[in-house]
Amino acid sequence: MKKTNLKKTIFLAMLTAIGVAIGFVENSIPLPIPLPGARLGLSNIVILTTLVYVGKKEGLVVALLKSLLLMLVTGHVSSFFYSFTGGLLASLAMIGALALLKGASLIGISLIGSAFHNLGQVLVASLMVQNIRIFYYLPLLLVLGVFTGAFVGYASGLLIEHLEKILPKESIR
Amino acid sequence: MGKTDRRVLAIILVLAGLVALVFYLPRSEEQASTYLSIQVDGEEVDRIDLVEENIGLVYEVPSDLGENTIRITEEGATMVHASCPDQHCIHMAPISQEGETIICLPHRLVLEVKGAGDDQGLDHMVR
Repeated sequence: MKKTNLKKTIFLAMLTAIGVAIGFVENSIPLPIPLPGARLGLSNIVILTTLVYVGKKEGLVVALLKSLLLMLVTGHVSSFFYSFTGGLLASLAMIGALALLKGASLIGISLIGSAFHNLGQVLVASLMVQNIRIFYYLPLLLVLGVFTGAFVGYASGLLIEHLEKILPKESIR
Repeated sequence: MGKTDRRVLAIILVLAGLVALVFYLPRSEEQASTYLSIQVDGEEVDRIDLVEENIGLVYEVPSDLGENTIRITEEGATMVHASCPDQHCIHMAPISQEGETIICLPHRLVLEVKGAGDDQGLDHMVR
């Protein structure tokens, strides 16, 4: 049986839990958009940190688990479909950006994540109500997303900086 | 912010601008004659003209998926009652401009303001 890294499992679990907690609090922030369940995406801090600090697979799993758990915790099933797709697209986009855009800082990567997160949300919402007019809200979401994305990138940077001091990367590989 | 970051930002903003252009384009017909399209599961089930005579009108959406009550006010159409757990739709500001929507996702209900010249199913007409 393959040896599992307990420290890594615990660390990932904590990150996921933090992500769910942030997502839960985010739910009480109203958005000026009639997209029930559209969220700011602050919990991307957790995804980005996992991607950079642990690995791609783990980042993706954290993103998807977070969205699943958030649905279980809040009971909002409809927003689950958006956040799941948004999280999936955002994670894939960030993984791609980390690999391809060498010159980008965490802020740039996070902006990409946020943009794809919003794109995913709008795509799924428009499919669910069968109305392409939902895209009317994408520009606003994208612009708002720039602000939250920049913040997420900056916060992730700080988080990683501090993590490097207390949790060596080798111990969670 | 490094150079690449700035480029990413620029691309995102350009994209936002493009989508805005596509969806915010005002129609060539007069804006005054708009109506509220009430859609359940992607199908329009009814329309309410957004005209003065209809101010104060209260409308119950006929749907098996849940209860939703719409009210037409001076500011537009709003959702005054819904039986869904989220209650997101209730807190939306009244809609009156073409393209604006109020959505009750659990009930798969979309309230959309459309212009008088709209054909059903077409979102954009090029003349």
